Amino acid sequence: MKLDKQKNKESGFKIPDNYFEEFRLNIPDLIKKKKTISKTNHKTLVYAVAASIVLLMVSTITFLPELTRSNIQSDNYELSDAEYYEINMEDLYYAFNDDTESINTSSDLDNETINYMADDMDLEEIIVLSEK
Amino acid sequence: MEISDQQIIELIKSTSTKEKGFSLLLDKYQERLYWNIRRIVVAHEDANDVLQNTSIKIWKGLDKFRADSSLFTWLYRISVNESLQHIKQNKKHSFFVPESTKEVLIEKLEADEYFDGDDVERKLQKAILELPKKQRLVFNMKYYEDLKYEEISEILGTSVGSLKASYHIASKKIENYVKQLQ
Repeated sequence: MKLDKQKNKESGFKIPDNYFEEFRLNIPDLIKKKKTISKTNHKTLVYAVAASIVLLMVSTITFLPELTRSNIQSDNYELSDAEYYEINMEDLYYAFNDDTESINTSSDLDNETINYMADDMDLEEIIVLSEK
Repeated sequence: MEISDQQIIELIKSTSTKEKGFSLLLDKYQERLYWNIRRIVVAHEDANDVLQNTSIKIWKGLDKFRADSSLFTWLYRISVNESLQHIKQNKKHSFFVPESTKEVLIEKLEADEYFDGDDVERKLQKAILELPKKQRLVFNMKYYEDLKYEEISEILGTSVGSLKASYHIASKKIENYVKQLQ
């Protein structure tokens, strides 16, 4: 079988009738919806994190006397170390959201590039090399 | 008369005309983007999903488009990236034997209600799916869309020489593969 050199070669792939017309009509709604959803998610996340911090603080204050009570009281006793959870809200936001900004084809393409091909090599030389 | 890329870029630069520019951009390129995507992901339903995601990425990226590359190659890069992401995310994983990308795509080809190619076309598509990922991309862009090597080089970030070799080897592999099936 020789590959057909003509343009617009049939490939067997078909599409539904009026697909592109309908697609065009739906795009504005799709874009607006995506923007709204991401803003809502951001607010919800911020509120959730804020609420968690408040609850953590309240519970720490409530239980702190219990946590630090000791049977042996000495003059030099110190409070037990408390873990401080430093939460950077911005980091949390980005952790839960996809990075939609990067366009990097190289990370998704494997390294089967034929590196030994120089631009100015004759195509016949390239074929000979590849058939070895 | 078809609008030029320069006119589209001017429209999308301004906030007041950005949506109009985006709309004209889709009018001009959506079919070509769709078919590029379709040949990568194979099934129409997947191509539809990827085209939607691609359109949204384009919309979000319009403010950052610097015109260092041509509008066309920028759009194609996004569509290729989205297609490859889609394939990666949708690979089924059998507990015992993970399915390869090739196997998944061949299954999709067989099951796609929007593929009605004859026997020759079916064999050709399977042969293309046997190619390594990059050769497949290069082959589709060159054979079906007749893109220049310089354009493909901008899209994929590969040298023209490598692309010529990739295309030639891919063509030979496909011809040999189809001969074996006959």
